[in-house]
This record gives sequence, structure tokens and C-alpha cells, in this order.
Amino acid sequence: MKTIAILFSLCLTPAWAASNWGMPLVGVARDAKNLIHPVYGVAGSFILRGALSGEAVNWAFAASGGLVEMDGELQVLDAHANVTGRRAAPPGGAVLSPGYAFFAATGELWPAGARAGGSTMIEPAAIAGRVMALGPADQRGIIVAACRASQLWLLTFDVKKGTLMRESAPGGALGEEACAGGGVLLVLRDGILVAAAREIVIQTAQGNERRVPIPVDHGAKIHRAGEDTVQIELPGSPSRIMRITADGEKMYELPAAEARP
Amino acid sequence: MMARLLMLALLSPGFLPAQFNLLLVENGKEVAIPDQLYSFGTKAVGGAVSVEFHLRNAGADTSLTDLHLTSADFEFIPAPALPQTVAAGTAVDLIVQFSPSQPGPSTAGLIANGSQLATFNGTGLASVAVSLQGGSPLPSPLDFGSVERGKSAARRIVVTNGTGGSVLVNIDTTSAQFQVKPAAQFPLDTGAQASLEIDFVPTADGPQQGKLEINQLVYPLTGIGIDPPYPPPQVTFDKASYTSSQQGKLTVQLAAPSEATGTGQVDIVVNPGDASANTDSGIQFLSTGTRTVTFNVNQGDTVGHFGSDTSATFQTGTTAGNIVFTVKLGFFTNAKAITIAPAAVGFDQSQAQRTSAGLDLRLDAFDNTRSTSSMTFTFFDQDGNTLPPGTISVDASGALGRFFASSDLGGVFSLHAFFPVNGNPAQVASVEVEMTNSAGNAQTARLPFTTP
Repeated sequence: MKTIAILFSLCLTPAWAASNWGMPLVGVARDAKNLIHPVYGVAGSFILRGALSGEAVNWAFAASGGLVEMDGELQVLDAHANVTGRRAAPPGGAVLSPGYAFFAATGELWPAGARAGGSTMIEPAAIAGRVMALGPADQRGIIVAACRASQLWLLTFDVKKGTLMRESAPGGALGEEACAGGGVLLVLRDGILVAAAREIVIQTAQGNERRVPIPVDHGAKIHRAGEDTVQIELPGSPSRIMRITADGEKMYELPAAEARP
Repeated sequence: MMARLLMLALLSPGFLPAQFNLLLVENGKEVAIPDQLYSFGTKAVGGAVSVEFHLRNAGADTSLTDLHLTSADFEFIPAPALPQTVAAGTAVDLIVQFSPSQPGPSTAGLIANGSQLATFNGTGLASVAVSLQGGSPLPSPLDFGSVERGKSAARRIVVTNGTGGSVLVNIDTTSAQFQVKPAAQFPLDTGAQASLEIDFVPTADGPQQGKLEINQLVYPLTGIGIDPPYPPPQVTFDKASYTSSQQGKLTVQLAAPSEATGTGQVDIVVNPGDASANTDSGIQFLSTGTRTVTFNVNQGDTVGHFGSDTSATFQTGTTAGNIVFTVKLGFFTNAKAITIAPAAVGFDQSQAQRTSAGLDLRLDAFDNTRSTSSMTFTFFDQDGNTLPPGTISVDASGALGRFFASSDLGGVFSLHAFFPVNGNPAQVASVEVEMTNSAGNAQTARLPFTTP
């Protein structure tokens, strides 16, 4: 302990010299024209800046970076929302998390930034259902949320071998709501979000359920927009940004992407 | 002898072979005039009727040197230019107007280069005289000026029966925006007068036209419909007070139901407490992403409509000072300001991670005074004990001040600090950060370090 204390006092000055100040990046968000913008600011004071080129079909972003699915292409974003890589994507659409893309049509799981051939195959029989979302991943495994019949299951696959490591059913009302209708859901480190009629249903890691009202009956889409930020796209209404923290959820309206004042 | 007589007859003007033919124009097409006799029908004395003809040259190119009508009750409108060359096969367009000056039949010949090409007749009908209230002639057009929609302007006219017999007066207008009071039909004894009111009641904006018809007499009417004034607008907010980094809702209230339909706008002007502060792009209306938003007002509305909503959402940004909202509607301008008080630094997101080389700390926050002077970092072990050397202070004013001077995002900033550790970083469990600005001190919660 004494060693650490000494090291702190010795290392502080050069450490501070290496520190920097910048614009806080909340995440990325899609506008009404399907263009992806970096969102700067803090909760309640968001600013959308210049868009990536091309219309986004799907995307997911967190503090370490993210993925954007364009028409036939997957773009890799770094932590500053800059495009650092592109890769032609198989047809059929992808299910995305900030670090992985899963193509149900081919069973391929791509880590962000992987070159052609750098993917893992997951057998459909191991999923035995419809993949709805990708959850958190570490160096060993990734959580895949899949609907088997009308029930949601969380399957953990080995990211290198593609084998099923474990599986569990979250249960509760959310488990069924996630697979009903369009089944729009996100799996985060601290919980699961489902877009239902007039509400977002949140099941925490401890199993508690909370419901946040939204102003539409159907058609809401949710996307991982930042580390603790979710964009909720509402048909006919401005998009919302939901911040999820240990203190709970807070909903904001997303500004339009327009010229700077 | 007979041959010489025939030759003389052919050479006299009235019997020359016709170089010109007069043709009636109906629906844009030329029609022959039977027996070269055309009747203008019956028209009230003081009234007028116009008919279009073509004077067509059936021969070689020639000069038209003479064209006239033999009665003052008939005239060309406008008078043709003379002389003029009329090319072979072409025609001169003529408008002939019959306006009887007295009751009874009237006849005129149309003469072109000495030849009578047609005979016109018409009958004048004894009628009433129409004047303004003071006796002056009715102007043409009778102008009602500019009148707000929903209101009316009146002009009084006098109808006088000078025909020598009783007359049934028929009076009407061709547009519902011009209304006659009190009656549309009434008898009028010889020598008698009747006073009538013509009202202009515009139902639409812009120039409006109509005609006043009294026993075949026609008088053009004109007026301009204009929007009624809007009620005074006022900006109201969904909260009594605001702080930085908030989203609020603004409503435009009208002092009374609007009689007008149109568009207004609300503009934001920011007066930062520190006059030298850079702009704050976070202060904006969300629906436009700018500092201007428009709203619609329809008749009967008591609030402005921002699209389908009755309020507009705005952000207060991260700059202390005043945010002035100015609403403009018609001739009215009204401003209301909200004050954003200077506040201690507000913390937003953070990420504290251990790496193999040390401790990596990211902290997103805002300082609405942009005056942060010092920062402190306090590290804790797994048991919550402060790690020596205790609180570490850093002067942040220079670097952060330079960042604010280059940023257009207001008072937001992201700090990325890295602390090298030569020992085992896992023994450092958490960190607290405190920042001091002109409004006071602010401290983060204890931020736990995680290992990615």
C-alpha cells in the first residue's frame, strides 16, 4: 500500500500533463432522415453534429465505439464516432451490439473490426429460436437474446468457438412481451429493455421491472446509442434519449440535427 | 349608255367593291353579320354595352384612313389609330360600345374609308339615376378601401327616378362580399329618391371585386380584405425557474381568441453572465435544432401551435446568464427571460477503469460559469480508506479556460486523465473528484474503478 502511495505522488505530475480536455460525446443517434450523428453534450443539453454519409439501417454504440449497418455494408466506429473500418455485409440484415454483429441468415458472428473471415459460426440448432438482440460480451462469451416460441432466452455463446456456454430465461412479464409483436429489445449490462405499447419495460439485473411511458401505441424502436444511453425512435414524434443510471431512468427529447445557432 | 351608267355607279363611294368586311366576333370566332345590320338591344340610359367586331381586309394591302360611327350613342372603345396600314388578309380589332344618351331608338352607320360597312341600332330605356349621397357621380370603381375580415365598410348611394313614370328598381350585386341594404327590389315614384347602403364584408384577404347592378346599370365595386389584428401573444413556461442542462417547454398564450390566421415565431437570444463567453449551441429549440421556432395561429386559437403540439421544447444549455425568448406575432412583439443562475460544476457521465499501466478516468461535466479553478482527486482502497498522499490538487484554470475559449458547446467538457501506477492498480478501488468554480465546490460520488 505504501508503494502505491509513493507511486501516486511520483506519477501525478506527468499523468496530469498527459490528460486532456475535449467535447463530451454522449453517443450517436439517428435522425428523421436515417442519418447517424454524433451527439455531444451532457444529459439535457444535447447537440447533434455532422452526419455520417449514408442512411443507417441499424446501429449500436457505447463508450468504446460501435457499429453501423448501412445498405450492404457494416461500418466500425471508434470511441469518438469516427468511421475506422468498413466491411461488406451479408444480405438479410444484422443484429448489432456495439462490439458484435450477428447475421441470422448465415449464422456468422462478427466482432467489430474483424477482417473478412474473422467471424465465428453459431449453429441455428444451438439458438433454436429467433435472435432478437446481442448483449454484453467479454473476451470469452457474448449474450444472445433469442425468442424460443413466445419466451425470451438469454444464451451465452463462446465468441471464439460459437458453442453454447449457458442459457437462462429472464421470465416475468418482460420475457413474454419481448417476443410479442415485433419484439424490440436491448440487452444491457444492467438490464433488459423492451419497447411495448405506450411504455418501455425495463428489467434490472436484480429482476425488478420498471415501466417508463412513451407517447405511442406501437412502432417504437430502441437502439443502444451510448454507454448508458438509449435512443427511442417514435413514429410521428421526436426521438427520445433515455439515460439509464444507477439512480434510474430519465427521458429527454432529442434535438433536430440542424445548423448551429 | 347603259355601260357608262354602270361604270359610274361602280365608281361612286357607296357602291365600291368592299375592300373591308365587318365581321362579328363571338366566342373568339368571326361570324358574318346578316344584312350588315346589328342590334345592340335595349340598354338603360346611363348604361353601356360593348360588342367586338373585326374589320377584315379582303383585298390587297391598304391604308385605313377613315373609320367612324355616325351617332354619338355609339363609339369605338378605344378609338382606332388612323391612318394605319392593314395588310392583305388581316383584320383590325374593334370594340363598339352603345351607351344611349336618351330613351328611344338610336341608329349609327360604321364607315370605313368612305364605305358604310354596317348599320347598328339600339334602344335607350328610361332609367333611374345613381349618385353618391352628396349628389356627386358614382366613381368607377366604387372603392371601399381596406377592411378587416369579419368587419364591414359601408357606402351610401342615392337612386333617383327621373323617368317621368313609376319605376320598379331592381338592385343586386355579383359578389356576396358586397351587400345591398335594405332591399333588392322596390318601386320608386317619378321624381322620388331612395337612399341605399352598400356594405363591403370581406371574407377573404386581398383585393375583392364585384358589380352593383341597378336596372341594367352596372357599377364596378372594389375593396381589399385584410387580416384582423392578432391578440397580443405572451410566452409562458412549464416551470417557474430553470437551471442549466434542462429541457423546458414554452407555450405562446394569446390574450383572446384569435380572429386572424397566420404564423408567428419565437427567437432565443442568450445574454451570458460572462460577456466574453463563447456561444452555447446547446441552447436551442429541439424541433429545429436552432434558436428560432415558428408557430401557427388559426381563428379561434388561444395558444400557438408548434406543429401538432401546443408547446415547443427548448434546452437551457450550460451557460449562466439570461435566455431571452421573444415572440413575434403580427405587429406584436413580447419578450420574456429566464435566468440561469451560476452553479457549481455538474457531473454527468464518468468511466473509471484500471489498465495494465495505471488508472484511466473519463469525466463528462459542465461548468456554467466557465470559471473552474482547481480540481482534487482522492483515491480509495478496497476498504474505503484514503490512499496516501491524500487529496491531490491540480490547477485546472489554464487548460480548461483554453478549452472553453475554443468550444461552442457552452460549459460542457470531458476530462480524460490517466494516472500511471507501477504497483498493482487493483488495489485502487475508487476515486472522488472535486471541482471548484466561482459558484462553489462540487464533488462526484465515489467512482469505482472497473477492469475491462
